[in-house]
Amino acid sequence: MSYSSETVNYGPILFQYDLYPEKIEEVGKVKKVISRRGTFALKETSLNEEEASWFTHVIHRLSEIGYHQIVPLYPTKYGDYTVQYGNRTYYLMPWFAGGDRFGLTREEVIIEEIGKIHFLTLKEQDFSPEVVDHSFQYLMQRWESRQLEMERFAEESERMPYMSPFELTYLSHFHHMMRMAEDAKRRLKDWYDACHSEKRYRSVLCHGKLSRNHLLYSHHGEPHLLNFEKAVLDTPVRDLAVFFRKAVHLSNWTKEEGGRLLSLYQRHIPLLDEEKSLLVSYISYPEPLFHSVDLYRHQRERYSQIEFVHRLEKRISAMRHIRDFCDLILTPPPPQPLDTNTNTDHI
Amino acid sequence: MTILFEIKKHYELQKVTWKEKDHLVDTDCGVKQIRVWKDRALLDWHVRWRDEVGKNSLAVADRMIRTAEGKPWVVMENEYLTLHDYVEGTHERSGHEKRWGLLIGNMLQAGLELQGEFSSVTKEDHYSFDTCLAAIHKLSKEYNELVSVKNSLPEANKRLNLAMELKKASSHVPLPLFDSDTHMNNGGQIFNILFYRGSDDYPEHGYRPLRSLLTEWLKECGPYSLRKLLTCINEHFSLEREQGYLLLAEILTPWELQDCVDQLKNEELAHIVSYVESFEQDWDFNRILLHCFTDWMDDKRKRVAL
Repeated sequence: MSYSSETVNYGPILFQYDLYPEKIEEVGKVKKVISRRGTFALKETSLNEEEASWFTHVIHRLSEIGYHQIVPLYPTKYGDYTVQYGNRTYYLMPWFAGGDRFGLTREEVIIEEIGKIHFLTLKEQDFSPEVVDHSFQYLMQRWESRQLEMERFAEESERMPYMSPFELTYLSHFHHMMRMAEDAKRRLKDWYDACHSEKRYRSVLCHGKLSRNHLLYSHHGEPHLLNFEKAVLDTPVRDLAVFFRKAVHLSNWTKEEGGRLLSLYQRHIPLLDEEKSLLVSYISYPEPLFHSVDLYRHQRERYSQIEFVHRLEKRISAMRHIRDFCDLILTPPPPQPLDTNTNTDHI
Repeated sequence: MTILFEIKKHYELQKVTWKEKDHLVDTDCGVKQIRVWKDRALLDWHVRWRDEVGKNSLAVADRMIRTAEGKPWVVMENEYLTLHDYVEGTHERSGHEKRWGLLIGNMLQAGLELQGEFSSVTKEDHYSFDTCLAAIHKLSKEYNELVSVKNSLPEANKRLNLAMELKKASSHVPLPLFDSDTHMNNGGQIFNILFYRGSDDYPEHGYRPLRSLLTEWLKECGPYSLRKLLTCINEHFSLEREQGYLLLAEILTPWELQDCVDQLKNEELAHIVSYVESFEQDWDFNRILLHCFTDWMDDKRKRVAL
């Protein structure tokens, strides 16, 4: 049995599980703990006490409502599901090392599973104009202030005697970005108006950090979602926006593929018209482009100019995919075929 | 055999054998300690304060290990059985004030939060100066060795009156419950954890157990370390205001006189001298403790004023 320095560091945490590791390996963001009692995954997080308690509640609640495709948490010998050590919080899970399920892509599995979770947790909220007003104004103000920041950066770039390749690329797409931002704001207004006229608002349990890395397969090939640390009750659109923003970067992405993934989701929970507007608004706002600018401004030493340019261009290309996909989302479904059955009683 | 069977079944352990009959068992998850409880309310208190103190992983109490069903105990006929980790040896004191301060601070915080709910399971020990006085007058007629005890009476009376005044001034402030049998030797070490072996006794309402612990600390580690310990406790549980005055009141109360009288009443002449010597020592240590604590409080007040 080898006790590395890591074993000593994690001793106080693993003691709570009566685990005496033979080996600890770092795999991504988790520690693979190999012990005589089995192999486990130990996750370190920055959750505070309140967040840890919500996280545990979410995992239990999902289980209670009949959703079992989540990587379970092991309790400590004292019955706690998280362990606080210093200013960090830890939790232990089984080690899942199964391969991808044959025939289904990770995106298909994730969208199916999130559809199931949203369906199981769907709640028609009592309509509150104040809540909707607050959400709308908050997001609108944030977006406008981001636009201002980007305009300022464009002005600064223009004043440069010699523009960098990144600045040049940014400026050549600047007006297009601003148009995207304006379109997103218009869609947000559509959502706001529709909420007020329909007087409805739905919430679900959102995973909060959907990613293909947060899907694991058990030894039996069963898919399991993990990392519900950012789970929150919000509009289903929140998870969908995160999902599609990432999905457009896939090499096999087409708007038809996007449409197919969305219909997989809508088999569980069809989106309302205003939710479609909100989804279009969320994903079409060019925040990923603005984020590239932030990175360039504040961490210039991290990448070379060419890398910054590539990053920006890649995101511009992804935003083009999103624009096409948005058109598809907003296309009304084809009309239902006319009922030609003459035997039906119609008056 | 029945106990082993029940433990194996309820805690889903592979192997359970006696390491020390009715006290320790050897399991596939290490050596565990068994405790048996008759009073459910007392057990509830011990589960709750241990859980509260165990919220961090640096200084913890010996919490009840949960059964496979998640329960902190197993019902056996009219009794309750609990299983605890067992850690041999003791944790160092001097130089580890931060960790002990965290433990004691959390114990006080838990005791204060739970005092309303568990006030009915406490044990109370009331101080009666008159009883002490009467006993000492009676004993001093028989033994000449009690001069120092007799000489301490005026100061004891003065201290008691001061303590009563302090308690009266803070009578609206709730007192924490505290594990009554608190000693430094109960602190063990495993990995990098201060692992505290709690008692199975009724808790005390107030600061008397803490006073004993601070006296123990003073005797072993000296005044400098004691001041550091008080500062570290204060980081987790404020001793600067009312709670500090209530602790001061407890330090002022001449419990050492009552302890001495209790011992003298039941013993033979051969032991009297050693008891009186022990009393003199305790009396002196308590003076130092009082001096340290008031100094520490004054220092805190000065810092605030600055």
